[in-house]
Amino acid sequence: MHAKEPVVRSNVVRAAILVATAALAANAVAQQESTTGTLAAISGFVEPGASVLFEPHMEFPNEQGTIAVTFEGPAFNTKGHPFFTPGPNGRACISCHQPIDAMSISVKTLRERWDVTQGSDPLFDMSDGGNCPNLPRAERSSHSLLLDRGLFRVGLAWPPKDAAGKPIEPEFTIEVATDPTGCNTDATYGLKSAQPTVSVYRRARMAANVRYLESAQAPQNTKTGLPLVRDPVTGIHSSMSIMSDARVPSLAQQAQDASATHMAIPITRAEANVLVEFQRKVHAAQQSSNVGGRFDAPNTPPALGVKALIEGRGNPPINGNDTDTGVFLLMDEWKGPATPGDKAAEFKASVTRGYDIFFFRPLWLRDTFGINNIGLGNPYKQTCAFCHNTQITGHDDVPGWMDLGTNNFPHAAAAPELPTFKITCKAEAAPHPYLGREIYTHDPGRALISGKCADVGSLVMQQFRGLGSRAPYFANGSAKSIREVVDFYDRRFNVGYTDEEKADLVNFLLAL
Amino acid sequence: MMRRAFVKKDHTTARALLLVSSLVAGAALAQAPASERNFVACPLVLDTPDIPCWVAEYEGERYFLAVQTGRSAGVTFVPQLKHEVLVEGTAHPDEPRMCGGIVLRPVKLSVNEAEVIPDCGAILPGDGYQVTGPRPIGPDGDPPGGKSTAIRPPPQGPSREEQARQFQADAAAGKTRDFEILYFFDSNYLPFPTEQATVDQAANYAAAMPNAKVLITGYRGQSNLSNGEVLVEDASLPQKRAELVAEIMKNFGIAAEQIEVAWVDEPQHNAGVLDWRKRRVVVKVSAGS
Repeated sequence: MHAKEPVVRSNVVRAAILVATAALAANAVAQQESTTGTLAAISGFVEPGASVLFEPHMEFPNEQGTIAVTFEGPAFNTKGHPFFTPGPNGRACISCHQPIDAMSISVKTLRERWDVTQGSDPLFDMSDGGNCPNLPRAERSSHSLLLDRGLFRVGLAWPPKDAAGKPIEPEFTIEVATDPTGCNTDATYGLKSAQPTVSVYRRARMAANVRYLESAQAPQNTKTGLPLVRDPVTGIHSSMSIMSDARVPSLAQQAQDASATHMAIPITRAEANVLVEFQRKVHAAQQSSNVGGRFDAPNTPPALGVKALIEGRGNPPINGNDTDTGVFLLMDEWKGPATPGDKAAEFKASVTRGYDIFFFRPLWLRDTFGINNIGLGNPYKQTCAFCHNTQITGHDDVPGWMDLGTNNFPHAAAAPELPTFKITCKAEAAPHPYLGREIYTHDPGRALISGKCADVGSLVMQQFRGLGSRAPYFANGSAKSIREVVDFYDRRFNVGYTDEEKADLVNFLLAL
Repeated sequence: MMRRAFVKKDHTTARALLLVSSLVAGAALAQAPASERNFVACPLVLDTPDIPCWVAEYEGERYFLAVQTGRSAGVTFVPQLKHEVLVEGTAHPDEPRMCGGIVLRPVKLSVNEAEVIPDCGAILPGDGYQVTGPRPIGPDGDPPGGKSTAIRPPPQGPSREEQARQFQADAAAGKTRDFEILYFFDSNYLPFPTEQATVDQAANYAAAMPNAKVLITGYRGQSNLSNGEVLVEDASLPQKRAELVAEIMKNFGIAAEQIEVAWVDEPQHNAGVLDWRKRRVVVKVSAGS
C-alpha cells in the first residue's frame, strides 16, 4: 500500500549512510545532551535523542499567546523514550510532532530548522522530506513543498490493496496532468515505474488529543452503511478518522506505518502500543491570549484551555451538534457588551460572537461528497457545527472522509507547485456525485486507498485544537492563516461573511 | 454492468430500451393508479424559513416532497441537485398544500446517482412559503419546533422497554422473525438510520437465539410510473444486496455457517402502489436444529 524506500544497492553505501545519519543524530543529540533541562525551558525544537524533562504541563508561546501541552503522568526524561529516540535516518516521532507546534510541525519551525542546520536536519531526509527522492538534498528548492507549505511526500502504491493485501480493482484510471516535482512521472518513483506509486503531499497531523479520534459511535459507518473496519489485532471497530485517508484502522498501525515510512525502521505492535499509550496521555490546546488573558482564569468558558481536553470524554466521542451539548459547550462567561477600549473584553466578546457564528449561522452546504450524498440532500442548509461536531475537538464523530474542495478542481486553490492528476471514472462505476466522471485533483485522497471514484479528493477532517501553533492549514497546506481558512469556506459555500464576522471566527478558532 | 439514467420524457432511446426490457420480462405496460404519483424529475429546493423544503413538478403540477431532513424527520433521504429523483408517492390533493405543492404521503425518493446532470434542479426563493417552528436551523439538524404536517408521528404501541423484553424473550424461545430492509431504486446502500438499525436488530436477534439459522433473501424491484412507463432495477442487485447484508451480519459476529444467502431475479412490484416496498432484503432468523 505504501511506496517502498529507495533500495540501497551496496552494503558499503548503506553502511556509510547509517554512519552519516548516526553522526547527524549524534551531533544533534550532543547539542542538547549536556542540557538536561526541561522541554518547556528549551521552548524550541526538540531534537531526537534529546535528554530533557517532559513535564505534565508545559506552555509555549505563539502569536496569540501560549499553547499548553500536557501529559497525564509524572515528568519523565525523554532520553530513551521511544517517541523521542531516533531511527536509522535520525528521525524520531518528535521530529514532526513538536510540542511548540501543538504536536504537529509548522512551516515556521521547518524554516528555522533549515536555516539552523543548513538543511542537514533529518527532517529533510529525501525519502519524504523532499519533493522527490531523486532531487539534490542540499538544494532548498528540493524541499520547497515542505518549507513553503509544510508538506511531506506520501508515496502510495498504485493500484491499492485491501487490508488483506489483495489487489483492489480501481474504478478509475489515473493520469498525471502536471508534475512540478517530477516525482509522479519519474522512472523510478512514479506512476509508471516498476513499483507504480502516486506521490501526494500532506501535512503532519497532531499527535495530541488522539483519544478523541480513536473510537466510533456506532459499529457501522453511517455514511456508507458498511461496517466499520476492525483493527485486525484487537477486533475493535475503527473510527476511520486516523490519518487523512483513513488507511489504517488504529493508532497502533499508524505508529507502525509512520515508523516504517518516515523513520525507516519497522516496529512491532508491542512497540507501537507504547507510542500509542504515550499519545493518549498528551493533550494540547491554546492556553492564553495576549489580549484576553489566561484560559485557566476564573470565568473562562469551560471548553477553552487544555483542561477541557484532559477532562472531556473522548471514548466514545460526544456529538456536540446539539443545543443541549454544544461542540465547545457554552461560552456565556465571556458574553456581554464590552466597554469600548477594554481590549480584553472586546476580545472575549469577539470569541463568543465567533462561536455563535460557528454554531448558529446557517449556510448552504453544497456539492460536498461525504455530506450531501448521505441522505441530507444537496444542498443542505446547516451550520459549521454540523460537520465539525465532536465535543471539545471539533472533528467529525461520524467516521468518513469528505470532499470539501481543497483538492479537487474547480474549488481547490490555485497550486501550480502541486501535482495535478486526471481521474477518469470507468463507465460502470458510480461517478463522483458532483464532479462526474472526469476529475482534476491535486490529491485523490481516500480514492487512492479505496479505488472508488466517488472518493476522489476526499480526506478525513482534522481537529480544531492548537490551531495557533501549527500553520499552514488544510491537509495540503493551502491556507497560510486561519483567515485564509475562513475565506475558503466563504467562497466555497457562498456564505457572505462580513469582515467583522470573519474576524470573530478567526479569534474564536485561534482561541481553541 | 452499465448504469442507466432514469427515463426522461425526451430520452427516447432509454425509454425504448426499458419498454423492450419490460416486455421481455413479461410485464405489460402498467400505469400506476390515479392516487399515485410515480415520476422522475429534477428536484427544486425552496429557501423557505425556517427550514428549506423540497418539491418537484410533474405534468404541470407541483408536489411537495419533504422538508430538509433531520434526525426526527419522517423522510430521512431527500433529493440532490445535479441528480434526477424518482418520486413514488400517494397524492393527497384534498389536504392543505405544503410549499405550494400537493402533499405526497407516504413518499419514497430515490436519487439517481448513476449520472450527474449539472443543471438538474435549482434553489428557489422561499416564495412566501414557510415551514414554521420556534427553532431556526442549527444544531441537531432537526426541523424547527414540532414536526411538520407532512410528517406523521409514529403509531402508538408498546414501550421501547417492553419491545426489548419481548425481543429477547422471542429470540431465546427460538421464535422465527423476519427483518425487512428496504432500498432506494437501483441502490445497494443501507439507509441511515432505519435500515442500518434493522440489520443491527437482525444480528442481535440471531445472536440472542441459540443455534440460529439466518436466511437472507435479496430482491429487486420495478417501479410502474404514472405515465405508463416502467423502471426496472439492475439485475445484479438481488445478489449484491443479500451478500452485503450477509457480510455485515458476519462483521457483527454471526458465524458464516449460520448464514444462507439467496436471491430472486424476477423484479417485484405492486402495480404502481408502494412499489418501493418490494425493493428489499428479508432476513429470516429461525431456530436451527
